Amino acid sequence: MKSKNGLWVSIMVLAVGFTSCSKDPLANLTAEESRIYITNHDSTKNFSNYHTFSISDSVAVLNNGEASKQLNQTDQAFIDAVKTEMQNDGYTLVNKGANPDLGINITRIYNTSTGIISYSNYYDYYGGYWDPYYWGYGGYNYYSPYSYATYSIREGALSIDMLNLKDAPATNKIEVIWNGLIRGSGIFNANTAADQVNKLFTQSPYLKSK
Amino acid sequence: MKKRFVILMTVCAVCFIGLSASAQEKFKMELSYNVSVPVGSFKNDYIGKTSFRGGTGMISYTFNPKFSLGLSSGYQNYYQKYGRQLYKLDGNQTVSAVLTNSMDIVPILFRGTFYPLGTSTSMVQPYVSAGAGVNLINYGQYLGEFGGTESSTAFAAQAGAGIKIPFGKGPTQNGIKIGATYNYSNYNNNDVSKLNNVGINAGVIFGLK
Repeated sequence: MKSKNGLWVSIMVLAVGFTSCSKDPLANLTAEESRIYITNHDSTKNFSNYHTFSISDSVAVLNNGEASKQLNQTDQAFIDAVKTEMQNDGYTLVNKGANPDLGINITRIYNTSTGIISYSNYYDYYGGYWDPYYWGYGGYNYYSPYSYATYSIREGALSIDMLNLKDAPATNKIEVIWNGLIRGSGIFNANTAADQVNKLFTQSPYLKSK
Repeated sequence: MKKRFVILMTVCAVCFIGLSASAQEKFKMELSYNVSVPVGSFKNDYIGKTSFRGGTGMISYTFNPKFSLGLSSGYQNYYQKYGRQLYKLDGNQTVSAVLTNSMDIVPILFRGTFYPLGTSTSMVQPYVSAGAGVNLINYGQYLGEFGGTESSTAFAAQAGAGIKIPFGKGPTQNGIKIGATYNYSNYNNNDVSKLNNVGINAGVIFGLK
């Protein structure tokens, strides 16, 4: 009887030992490694046809469906980083009153209620938190052809949308022609903002003004 | 699938009849640590890294000094993280991500072992083994921290060889063993076909009363 107990104990110990020494994929990621950078663009557009851009002076924050405009140190870092990358790609920063070819909106998304986000959900109410009037096209609707696969969300997402203002008067809509989405841990960090935005632009080599 | 089931059930039945017919005979148990090297599509399409996280246990019934048949199970965990790279998704989507692949395999095999030297008191006793059964498979893939796991089962077969070094003099079940196995596993999901791997194991054998 004793040896039987010993046997079961040793089997249990081995079973626990085997399973506990397995590698947990999520536990073996740094915050940097946890992040993914997704870009999407309208391949029918030639981005060298656009020369000037303007960027909104604050960030829209979507917190479980409630929208507000904010500007903290991190938001400013992301806005500055996008300005720098756009200028490096040959686009000229102008005031939004000076008829820019491209408009850029940055949105922070928090969604803890459903745990799921898809770009189309985020986009459905876009006009609600980015009033088209801001870009001088009151009454127009935004239009985006993208739909992202759903990913479970842990911390949040940062979305950068590039708007086609140049053709808005002709098409009667504000088209989103490029989108960069950052997902993962520790996104909202002023120190890494420049590096994160750089990744989005580096993987989008077609963004060239000339 | 049906054929495999029939074969399995037959092996099961033979084993069970054997057990009940001669209950006084000796059972033995083997416990070993296992290192596994993925080969073929498993290595090329999924995880190239050798797994040092695994083990096997087997309880078997000794029909005669040369042959035993038993039930073997264990655990092996494979893991590999690939540095940041660009991946094309549907449409015009591009994603930059660190890719992590992981695989857990729990085999459940009927395994026969043949000792050609039988009752010999030789210091070193070679053996060959063969087994078949199923693998419980847990596939995991993550882009950054996003992804998940997927469980499945697949047919598994194994061929092995090694040596046993008995403790003390005279014929005994107790000893240590060192061996190697070739493991075949049917699998055809997520761009990976077959989970074949070569295992190297070391462990102990002891008789159960």
